[in-house]
Amino acid sequence: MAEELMEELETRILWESSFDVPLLGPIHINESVAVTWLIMAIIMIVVLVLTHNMKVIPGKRQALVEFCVTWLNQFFEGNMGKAGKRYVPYLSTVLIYLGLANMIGMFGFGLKPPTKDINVTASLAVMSIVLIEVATFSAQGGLKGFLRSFTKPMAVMTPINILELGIRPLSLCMRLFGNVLGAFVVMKLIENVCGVILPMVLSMYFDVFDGIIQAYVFVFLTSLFVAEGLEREEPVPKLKKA
Amino acid sequence: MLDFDIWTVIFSVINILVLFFFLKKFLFGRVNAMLEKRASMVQADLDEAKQRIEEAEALKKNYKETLSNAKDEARQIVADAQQMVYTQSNEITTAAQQEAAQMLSKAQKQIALERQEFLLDVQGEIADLALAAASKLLEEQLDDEKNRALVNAFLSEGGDPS
Repeated sequence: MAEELMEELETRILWESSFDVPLLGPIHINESVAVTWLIMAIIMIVVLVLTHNMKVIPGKRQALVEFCVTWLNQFFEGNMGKAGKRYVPYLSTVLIYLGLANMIGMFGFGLKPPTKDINVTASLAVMSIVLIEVATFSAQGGLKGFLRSFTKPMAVMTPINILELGIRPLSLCMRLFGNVLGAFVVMKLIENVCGVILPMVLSMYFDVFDGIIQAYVFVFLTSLFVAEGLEREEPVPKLKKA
Repeated sequence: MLDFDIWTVIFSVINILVLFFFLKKFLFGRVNAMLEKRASMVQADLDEAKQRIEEAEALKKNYKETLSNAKDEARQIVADAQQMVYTQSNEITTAAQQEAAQMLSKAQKQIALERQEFLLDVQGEIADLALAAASKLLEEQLDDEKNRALVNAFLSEGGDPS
């Protein structure tokens, strides 16, 4: 009995569909990539529906999308200041994608969150650290300023600052991956034990709450690191401190 | 899900970039452009309203000035007219009085003249009558001129007709 249960769980949790693109030889499409495409399609369709035919005097549909965009703008500008305005669209994109990706499991159809695939979260984390370093590089005015930013706030911190190049993306990647995978495994366990009502209630926590929190934390931390990189001492001392 | 899969990484990066460019163009591009457009429109409207109010204030001031000017002018005109009427009526009255006085004195003179003429005529007639009566009485041929003078002197002595 217990062995059977374990086996069933194992297949439920570990089972992954994937397929190869026949014409292109080695190209291999994983399930998380396919689900991501689905999420992208949903986001794109919703965005196109919401933003088509925009007017100066907004209707309800347009007011909703304007509210969301304004909120995103203010949230990220609050973290990064005016100088970080150009990075808002990317961070908003990641937030929207992660929010939907973390919650996709509760919609059924056998969909699993793509963020429980460590390759996906690692890609996102690498892109985040690239964004952070590029923002630092351009804000500190070239290579010299960029290298000097490693000695801040004091020279003793330099090794730690260099280590952070690896620590930051690793923590971003692992936090997201671990939370989503954990929530997914717990949900599968619960579904196996009790199939009605209880999974619905608990999925409010594990899928919706945790999913949104993790998406939020990911972009929040990224924007904080960007804000740190944007700080300059010489011309205008910024009061912004996260 | 724990195995490293280069294709998943590549596709994830591509997916996020595609989604980013899509949202940048169709979500943030459109919405931010619209927000900016609205903000600039509202600003323009506010500026225009302010300008209109200033213009209206200026016009109001102008009208007030014009109105008070017009009132002053009207008062001035009425006062002028009254003054003119007064002066004119005075002039007319004076002229009429003068004319009346003139006419009166003229009439009086005329009357006096006529009376004088009449008296002279009467005097002449009386003299002729008296002369005729005297010549009848005396029945003597007297020098006509001499007698006439005599009678005249007598008459003027005897009583002044006036």
